[in-house]
Amino acid sequence: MSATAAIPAREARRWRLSPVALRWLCLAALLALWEVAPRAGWVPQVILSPPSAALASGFAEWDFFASALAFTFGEILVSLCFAYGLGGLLGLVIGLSPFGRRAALPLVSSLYALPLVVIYPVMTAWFGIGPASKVWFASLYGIFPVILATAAGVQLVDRNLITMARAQGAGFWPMMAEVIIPAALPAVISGLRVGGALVTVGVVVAEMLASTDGIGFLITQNRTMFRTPQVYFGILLVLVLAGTLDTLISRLERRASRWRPQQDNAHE
Amino acid sequence: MSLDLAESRQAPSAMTQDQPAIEVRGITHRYQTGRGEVLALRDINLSVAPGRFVGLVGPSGCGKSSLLMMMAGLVRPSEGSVAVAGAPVTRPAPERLGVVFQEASLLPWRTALENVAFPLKLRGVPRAEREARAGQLLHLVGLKGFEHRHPHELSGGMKQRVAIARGFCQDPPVLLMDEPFAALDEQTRMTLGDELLRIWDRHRKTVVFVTHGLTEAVYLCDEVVVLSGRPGEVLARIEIDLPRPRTWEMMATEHFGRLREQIWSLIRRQA
Ligand SMILES: Nc1ncnc2c1ncn2[C@@H]1O[C@H](COP(=O)(O)OP(=O)(O)OP(=O)(O)O)[C@@H](O)[C@H]1O
Ligand SMILES: [Mg+2]
Repeated sequence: MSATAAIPAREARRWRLSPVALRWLCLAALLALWEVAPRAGWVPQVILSPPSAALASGFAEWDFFASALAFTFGEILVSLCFAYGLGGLLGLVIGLSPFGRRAALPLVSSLYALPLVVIYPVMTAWFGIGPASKVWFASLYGIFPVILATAAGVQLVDRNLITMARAQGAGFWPMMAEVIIPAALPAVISGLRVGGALVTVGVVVAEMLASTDGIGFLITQNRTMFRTPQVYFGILLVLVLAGTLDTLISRLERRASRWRPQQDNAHE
Repeated sequence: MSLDLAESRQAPSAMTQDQPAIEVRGITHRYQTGRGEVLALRDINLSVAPGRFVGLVGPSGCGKSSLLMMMAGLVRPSEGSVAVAGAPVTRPAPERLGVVFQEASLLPWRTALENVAFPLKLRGVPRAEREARAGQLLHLVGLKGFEHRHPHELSGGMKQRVAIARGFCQDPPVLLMDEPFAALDEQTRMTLGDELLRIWDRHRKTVVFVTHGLTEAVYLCDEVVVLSGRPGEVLARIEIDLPRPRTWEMMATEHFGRLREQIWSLIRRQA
């Protein structure tokens, strides 16, 4: 009774800030602060250059940045293929059998918890400082969440659905395509999201540590030369890359969960 | 709201009258659990003649669902065997035997129509054909207009009706139904019961029907098998000698009441 009385009271408030509006407002405030702080002299410009300066100097050298961006993007794409393809496959195999789960899951979880960046120098020794070492490192870096999420998703499939499909005579492949994979998809996609972010981090960090091309390389190089606006432009480009990937995965997520009940009415 | 399933009418097949549609021989079943073994069923022998409508009643947990799973080839009994139309059951054979599960078990990412058509999809029936048939079946169970809803948009009883329609979709000669009407209101239950009887009569299906509803059991069945509490054993097989077709008026007769009472007294002693 008291609960129903409370609702109209809250509804009665005149205007309300939508969560989406608040989000954009915060972002705008942050950008404004970033622009104002160095210009007003609160922070030295060698440490923080205003976004307008970063964009201006970045676009002045756009050809340079564009080729680096394409290079990094290529590395990310190839690494994603490995991390998603191999990770999804391994996750399925591990998740489907109790034996696989017992044998492999603890191992995968511990590897995931390690700071894998320590093995990057070894990889440059094996594969050189070209794109191969980045792809190896980033694929490895991003593969674990994909494996774990896929294995978990496969495990959580409703047993009744499996029994039902078995009763209909579904063999291995139809069972996969019609029951297991659709049921595991939401969990898998959340793994793809984390894995995608880690792949991006992996590629950029590897480029920053040892390479001759790519956005990460440009960031490091400009930093050693104290070209702060260019450094920030590089950072902005990495943000754009990561944001684009995340948006694509959100799209996929929304497509894959269209059948599900609407949890809340978060209007995007 | 009647539907002719004649397009896929079952040929009377090689099943001879003297060969049981389902034969259960000496089934004993133990489940292995974390805390040791559970004896679920003990020495069940049961023979169902083709075309019979047989009810299976018994206290909760006595192994009715388990027995159905074994008949369907989904669970291998610890001891004993099952034969359907003379052939030993070792794996599911959906074209010979259909199952309607106790839980509706619908694919949540598929619409009602797609769920009903699912068995035909697995058999490679073209989309238009299988969905046309699924549409007719949804109409039959009173869900016209809900074809494109997903399971989460349906009530419990509606989901169960979708599952029933799916059970009919392949039109198998033997149908195992595990409390299919449990989630339904009385009126829908009676209507669907009549519809089930009509289909059964027209196509001479063999039906094994698990239920907790004694009125329903007497109304629908030729014979009611009463199982004891766990471990389930066959306590009695009660012949329901009411004439067919059954009518709702029969429920008020003394004979109906006596049959119902007879089953009830057997079950009550178990609790
Ligand atoms: N997979 C399983 N593992 C362990 N025990 C099980 C399993 N399935 C069923 N049992 C046990 O076997 C017994 C029979 O279960 P079953 O589901 O066949 O009963 P039921 O007669 O269908 O009951 P209800 O009328 O409540 O549906 C129960 O005691 C149950 O605990
Ligand atoms: Mg049961």
